[in-house]
Amino acid sequence: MKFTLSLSFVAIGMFSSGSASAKDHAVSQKGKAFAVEEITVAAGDAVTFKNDDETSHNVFSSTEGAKFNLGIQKPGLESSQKFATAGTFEVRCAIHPKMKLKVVVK
Amino acid sequence: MKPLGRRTPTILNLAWGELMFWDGRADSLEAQALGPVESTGEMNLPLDQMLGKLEAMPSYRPLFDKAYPGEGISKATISKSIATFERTVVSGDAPFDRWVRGDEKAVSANAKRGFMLFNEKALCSKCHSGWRFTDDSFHDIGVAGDDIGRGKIMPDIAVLQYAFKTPTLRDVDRRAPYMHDGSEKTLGEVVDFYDRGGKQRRPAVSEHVKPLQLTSEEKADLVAFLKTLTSQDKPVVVPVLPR
Repeated sequence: MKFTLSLSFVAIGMFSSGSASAKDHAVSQKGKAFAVEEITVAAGDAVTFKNDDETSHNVFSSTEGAKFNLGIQKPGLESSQKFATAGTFEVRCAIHPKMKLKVVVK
Repeated sequence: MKPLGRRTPTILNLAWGELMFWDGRADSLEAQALGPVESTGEMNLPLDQMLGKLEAMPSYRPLFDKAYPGEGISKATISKSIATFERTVVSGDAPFDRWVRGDEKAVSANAKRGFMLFNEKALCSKCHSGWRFTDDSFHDIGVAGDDIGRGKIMPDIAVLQYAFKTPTLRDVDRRAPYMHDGSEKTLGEVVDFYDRGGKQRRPAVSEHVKPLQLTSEEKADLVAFLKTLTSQDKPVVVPVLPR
């Protein structure tokens, strides 16, 4: 349990973006999994998906209101996605369908 | 009957699977179950006719009532019945499993070397990982042809063009021919295919599919390992169906 908690602490960072209030939340991808199963952000915040894995990923969402496709992401790269409207969105990896992340935007 | 464009995928261990069919167009076994029934190239049976046939067999009704009280015979309960059966199709104990548990004599020295190659030089475990030897991922592995696979389902995602689901390798020695189109006839041909880095280079071809420079001994070791994934299962007892 201690390992899981410390890993999550490292994997989910938060840092300031250009806006005064909007924030950028970091979610790592490692071991063909997102570091967390669910993340809650505020409308207008962004989530940065970093590929800390040994294989490429392709983060996307088909949920109405937040459809996006970050494209192929090789190991070591990161891409950011802004979530503008409130709702619950399912984010997945197109290559690895077991990789699922629920993004709750409030 | 005209042969289908794709080989029939195995249902082995799909209780743990994610997205069904070679192109992942069904998101559950229930969603997949009735597709082949009504497909014109397969059973070609309209689902309403299927319902009529089952309802005309009196002994089916009490079985459905017992399994799904109050739901009756419907497309939904038929789908659930088939999916529930499919989840019972699970691979058994294989020589590889006995070796993992500590029986050094369960597999040959060739197979042990093959397992090391599988995980390292040959890059197989990049996708064929876990106890089922698949991570359920989708890749273009460079099979020649114009079937774009999952690309037809998700046309906006470049990496999914010509991509197909990574199949389990459990009992793989029993399932020739191989690849989604059956284009490789033996496990040896499959290893040769990957050693060449596939047969067709396209932008979407997986980063893990590239020339491997395997020796003939290494190829034989890989095949020896793959054959250790075959379990000795009890024969399936064919049920007596209601009439």
